[in-house]
Amino acid sequence: MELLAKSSFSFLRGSSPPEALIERAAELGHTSLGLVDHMGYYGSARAHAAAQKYGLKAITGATLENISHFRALTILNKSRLGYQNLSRLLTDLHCEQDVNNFRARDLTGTHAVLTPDSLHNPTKANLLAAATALKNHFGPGNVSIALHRHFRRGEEKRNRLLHDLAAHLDLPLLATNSPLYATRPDRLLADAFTCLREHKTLDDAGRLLESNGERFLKSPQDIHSLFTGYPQAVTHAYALAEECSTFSLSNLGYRFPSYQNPETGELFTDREQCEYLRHVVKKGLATRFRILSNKHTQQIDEELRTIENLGFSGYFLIVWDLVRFARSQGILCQGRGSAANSLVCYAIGVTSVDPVEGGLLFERFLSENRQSWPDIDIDFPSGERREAVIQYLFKKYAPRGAAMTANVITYKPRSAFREMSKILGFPESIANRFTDLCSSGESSTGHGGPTPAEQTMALADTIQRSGLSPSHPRFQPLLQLYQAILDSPRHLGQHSGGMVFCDDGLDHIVPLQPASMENRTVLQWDKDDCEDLGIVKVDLLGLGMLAAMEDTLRLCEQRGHPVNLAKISKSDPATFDLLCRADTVGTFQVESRAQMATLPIMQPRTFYDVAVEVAIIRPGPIVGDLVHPYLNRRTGREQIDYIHPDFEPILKRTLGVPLFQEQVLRMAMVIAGFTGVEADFLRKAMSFKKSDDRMNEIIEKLKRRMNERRITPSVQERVIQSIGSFALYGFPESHAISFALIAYASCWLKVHRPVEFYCGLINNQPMGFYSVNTLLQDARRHGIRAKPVSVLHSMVETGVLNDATLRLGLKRLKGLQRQTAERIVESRSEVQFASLPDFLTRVSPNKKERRLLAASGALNDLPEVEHRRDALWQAEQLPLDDLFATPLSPQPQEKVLEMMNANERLNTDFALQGATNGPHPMRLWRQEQSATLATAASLYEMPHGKPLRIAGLVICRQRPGTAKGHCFISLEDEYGIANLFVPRKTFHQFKLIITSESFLLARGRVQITEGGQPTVYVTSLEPLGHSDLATTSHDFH
Amino acid sequence: MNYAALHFQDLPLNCLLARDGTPQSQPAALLSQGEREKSHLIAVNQAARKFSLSPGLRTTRGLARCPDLLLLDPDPIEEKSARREALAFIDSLVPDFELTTPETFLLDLSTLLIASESDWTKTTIAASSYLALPLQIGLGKTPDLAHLASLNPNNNNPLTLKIADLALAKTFPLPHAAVLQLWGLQTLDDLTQLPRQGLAERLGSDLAQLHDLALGKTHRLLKLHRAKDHYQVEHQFEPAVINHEPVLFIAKRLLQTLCTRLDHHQRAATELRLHLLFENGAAHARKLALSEPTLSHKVLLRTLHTHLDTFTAPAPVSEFYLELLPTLPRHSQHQLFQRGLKDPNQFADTLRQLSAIVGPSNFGIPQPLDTHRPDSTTLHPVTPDFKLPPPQENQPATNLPLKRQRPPISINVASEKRGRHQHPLAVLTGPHQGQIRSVRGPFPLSGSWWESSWQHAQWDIELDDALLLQLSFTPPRKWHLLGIYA
Repeated sequence: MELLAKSSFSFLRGSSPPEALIERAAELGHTSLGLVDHMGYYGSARAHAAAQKYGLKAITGATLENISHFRALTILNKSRLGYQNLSRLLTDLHCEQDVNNFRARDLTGTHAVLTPDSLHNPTKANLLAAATALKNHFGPGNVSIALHRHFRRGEEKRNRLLHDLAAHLDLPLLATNSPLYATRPDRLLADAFTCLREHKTLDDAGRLLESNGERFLKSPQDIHSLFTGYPQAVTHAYALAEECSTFSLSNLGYRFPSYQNPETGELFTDREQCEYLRHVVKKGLATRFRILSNKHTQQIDEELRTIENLGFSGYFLIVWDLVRFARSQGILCQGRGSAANSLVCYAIGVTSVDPVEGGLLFERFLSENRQSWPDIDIDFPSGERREAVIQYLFKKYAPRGAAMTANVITYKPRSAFREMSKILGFPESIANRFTDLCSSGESSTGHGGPTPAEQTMALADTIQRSGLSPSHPRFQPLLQLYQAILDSPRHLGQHSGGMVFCDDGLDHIVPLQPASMENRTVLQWDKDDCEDLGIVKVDLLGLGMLAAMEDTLRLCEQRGHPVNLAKISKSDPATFDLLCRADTVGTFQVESRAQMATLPIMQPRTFYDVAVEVAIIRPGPIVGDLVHPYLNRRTGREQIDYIHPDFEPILKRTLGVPLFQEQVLRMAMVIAGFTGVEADFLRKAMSFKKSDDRMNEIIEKLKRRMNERRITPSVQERVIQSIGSFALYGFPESHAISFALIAYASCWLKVHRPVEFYCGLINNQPMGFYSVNTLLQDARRHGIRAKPVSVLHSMVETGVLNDATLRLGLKRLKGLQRQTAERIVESRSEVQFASLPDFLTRVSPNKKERRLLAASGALNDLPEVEHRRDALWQAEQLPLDDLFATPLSPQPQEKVLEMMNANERLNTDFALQGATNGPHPMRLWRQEQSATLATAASLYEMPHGKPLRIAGLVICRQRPGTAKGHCFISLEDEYGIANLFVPRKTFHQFKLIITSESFLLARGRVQITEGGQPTVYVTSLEPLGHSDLATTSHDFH
Repeated sequence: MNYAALHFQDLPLNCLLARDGTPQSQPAALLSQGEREKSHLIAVNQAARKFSLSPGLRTTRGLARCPDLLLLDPDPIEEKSARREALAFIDSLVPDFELTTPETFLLDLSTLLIASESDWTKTTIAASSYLALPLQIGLGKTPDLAHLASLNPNNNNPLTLKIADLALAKTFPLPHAAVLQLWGLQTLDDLTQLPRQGLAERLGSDLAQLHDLALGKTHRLLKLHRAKDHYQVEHQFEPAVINHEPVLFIAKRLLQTLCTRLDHHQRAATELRLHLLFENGAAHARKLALSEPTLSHKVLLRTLHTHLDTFTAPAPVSEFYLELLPTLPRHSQHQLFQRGLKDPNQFADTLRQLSAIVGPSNFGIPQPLDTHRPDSTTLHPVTPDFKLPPPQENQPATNLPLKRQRPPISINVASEKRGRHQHPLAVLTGPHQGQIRSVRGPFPLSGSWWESSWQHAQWDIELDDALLLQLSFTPPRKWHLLGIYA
């Protein structure tokens, strides 16, 4: 019955996570535990989940800071009403600047506790005034005065004072240890948190630290003996705990919003929602299908029945409304994830995949056996268009009816080490070295690993290599603190797209606080907490490719050949040809170096092949060593093996290789007899990545069940290996199919609408794998040229001139303000610029912009401007503001500066635009040098093993953790992209050159890999010229 | 040519190479201060430039281009010493010169009879060889032309000086170097080809001035360098002296001279620096800060006397050196209500004598440390700028004063374990013994777990004879008497 515990979700105040506090409380024999985190219910959801597991009652409350003359006021909830009232007050304290007292607030159902630390200056008079104020506001039965016994001098004197005060006001005393951590050793981290909070080192913190380690969770017996002189305080603690335990988060009172009748504006009843959904689905099916097959009719009936039985009709209507709003605004969107398993989602336009055609399982999405809300993730074009949808929801459910879910930012290896080494007074260089060692993947961060002892040893080794001797007296404390702080909450962030909404205000469900982004609020729980408590979330995710595709489609329509992505052929030979030859620069998901290396082996010829391709190149399958078996089986080099005969129906589509999450779940059901609920637990454990404990627990269960069913150890091992690898990056089949749809559509657009496609991509940078320069080079190889930026012809965005020509937009110029660009377009819309002085007069760009426009060649098309330097000379001097002058007429100018040569133009283009529409730097290099080098194109004509030298611009460096230290580099020249393989030893030898030079010359030999793809096996490297170009590359992601 | 500019190129780097005897052919660079991982090159030598290295380049990139690159950290002391030697060298060449930048000297050659400029240049470079520092000499009809010529590593022509090198040297105002680069201007000659008026209209008067300067149209006066006055004297004893009376006798006379010199320059002494050399080769140096600037040789002598009284020489004194650090004299009249010392130097002298008697480690102002560890103090040195820290928040648990035992007295106590703590029953040894009538506690205290961990539990006890004591227990079995409540 400890009532006033603080967890690590009090952010730098308590040091144990709520789960640890609850677990310890259960060990000690407590029946309930009150969590009063600082300014919120941050840890209460987790405490509630843990309490259910250990059979405890988790009491909710919070500690309010600086309110009504209280330094800290602790409030406990006695009922749901109290919980809601306190939640609203917390929201107000976070969101409203002028709220700083509780006097005008209704706090019915709560209980205030005056603790010895409540006041800044706890004199007798101040304590009396404070206790009287609380008694008046909360009522006599709703205020307690807490006693502490932390074995500090002076404590008894204060306890006597509080005792007298309680007697005087007839208020009960409350025995509490106000724990900040679960066990005594956790004090170290609590001290470290104090230092972080106060921005001090441990040496400087002095008496800010606790004088002893007594703030741990004590057993009921300890509390009894501790407060021997105050038995009434202990009795009251029990009574209050009992009273507060009547409310738990299980009866939170959350209800997903009902859909509003579009005609009357009133909320639909459940029955009406069901009917309306049936109506919407019917209409949707009519547009999707000309004739509905029996299979489809059967499926839709089953789905609607399940949805109605589960009471989710309103949810589907609200998602439908959201998608409908986006479409009405011309915003492209598509559902992904398990929603793609649903025909209802397809019918109402949330997804674009026909699950019946794709053979997808609806049960994976929704099942009557599983009492969890459906999870619908929707992709929107990133940026302003997604924000428009988010703001639509904020407005629709205003005030305080919608919020983003939180993202708990935790201490990761680098931040943990940096902070802990800082408070221990170590120089920053040690933390830098540690970071470098971690980044290079050469050292362990003590995070994950075979056994805790081995993890600690590996970590100690890394710290030693960071420059700290193990004999240093602070070595062990650093090790301990680092391990203790790892994964502890650091602060609350905002989930990238998870939104929660409610009809009658979310702030009575969970406190809200302002997000860092304007006009957004975030709630105090993350998406997993929300899911655990049955709060429904919709993920509105931003996808750069959707934005690019949306622009592409708009351009297609403008140019008179519109495209309906829903109707494009899924078996277009030209699109598959592009995929087979790995000509996928700029496309979605299949453009990475690894994807491009696999495509020629994979030779995709059906849409499902694309889904497999999307799923195959991911860390999960690679960790599980599963890529090559699939490809080998596909090419017939390896026999198909289903691990166990019972797996054949499950793994047949993927040739015996478990590639999708659904397959892994069904394998567990078949081989270990997992129920639907257990399989769902496994799915959550694989997806959460939050806790290894969940995963270990389910793996143990799986082993036990397989042992019971006498499954051979070798099969067991392979099953567990498959699940282990998926636990890192689970990828559901429905998700792969949703992504494959966008990937296929992007490839189709590249084949059939290339000029619009490149234009869309360029306008939505940065996104994807490649820089604008690489995209322009790729476009050129496809016969599309880009005309330079021009103040006479360019719009703000890049535009299409004809099927083979783009005009780069003014936005490409780094440093040109958007307003200036818009002014240029607007000014010339009526009358074109007559001269440079005319341009300068009408647009008034600032000095920096004048130089930028001139140097980039954007002024070259103006009359009397001969070249970039001529423009620079002229634009440096503003035209005179002469009333009688005729500024529109061009004035002959003396030509004083020489024009830029090709190299200078190249340098300037890269510096000002990050790309050039002129010749590739390698072409210029070749013109100047006599050396004969291989080119990216010539590699295809070389025999295996031929020695060569090749040079180019580095566009990608990768050293995946699974590649055993080897490095992959993509070199671009004027003919294409060459793939370099740098063995581990060579990488270490030339590490500095590889990581710091933008142009490389490599020596090595050609290797013809599977699928006939040439790769250069590198034996040595050296820097090339052009090394100071401001290029960008995709490095070590 | 009337002027010569002597430019010690990359002096901070080259002085280190000279010190270590590293050949000039070794590519070398100076590193920026701070984290090595994020460092960049701040200076490179000629050999390094051949690998396309230049100041500002990231260190990792520098090493990628030149794996044999020698990386050095700046050494301000070595740099200062090299500059001093360079200055002495220039001083030996001409009477009138300007210290234009820390690495460049402009010499007025008009007072010299020079038959051949090239011979003079060669002779000068040869004469500087003992410095082991690369030297570039530029000659010009104006000081600035000579200076520009000296910055040009390739030849003596100021007009072929690269604008990038000029910007890097930061010796001439060049506010628009990036624009000039955009314009494609490579050298000063390119700049002079532009119309002066157009240049001034576009980039302002600084560029127009550079234009004039490069064409020799401006001629400025040199700011002649003059050595600073020194307030230092030295004296050698022949034979060496074995006590300090002769030292003081000589010091008195020398201090009088120095004080007179200070007085003439309207300065006062703020610090006395003493350097003693002994017959056995040992040395003793001390800076004696004065509480208040003074011109009184008596005050200075008394300070010196007190110091010598506290000091035991390892061998007879063979040589001594005195220097006074000058500052502006302080003029203030003692006010009636002003709290302070009438003679701070006398007070400082008294403190010095006290320090000598009890030892420096036992002398100072006790300050309580910010820790939970009881009775932890440190001694703050007695300095004129000492300020009393704000009092620590202290709410005594009892109104009784505690008479502390310093150090605490080790005692034997009969005790029994109750729960996690040892409860005292009777004090068996020590100045106050007896049965314990009542106790209050324990008050466990612990801290410094990250380095030298400490922990103990305090008890307040009442003996049978009503004496109130404060005890402490340090695990596993040490008891101490901390104090007696009066």
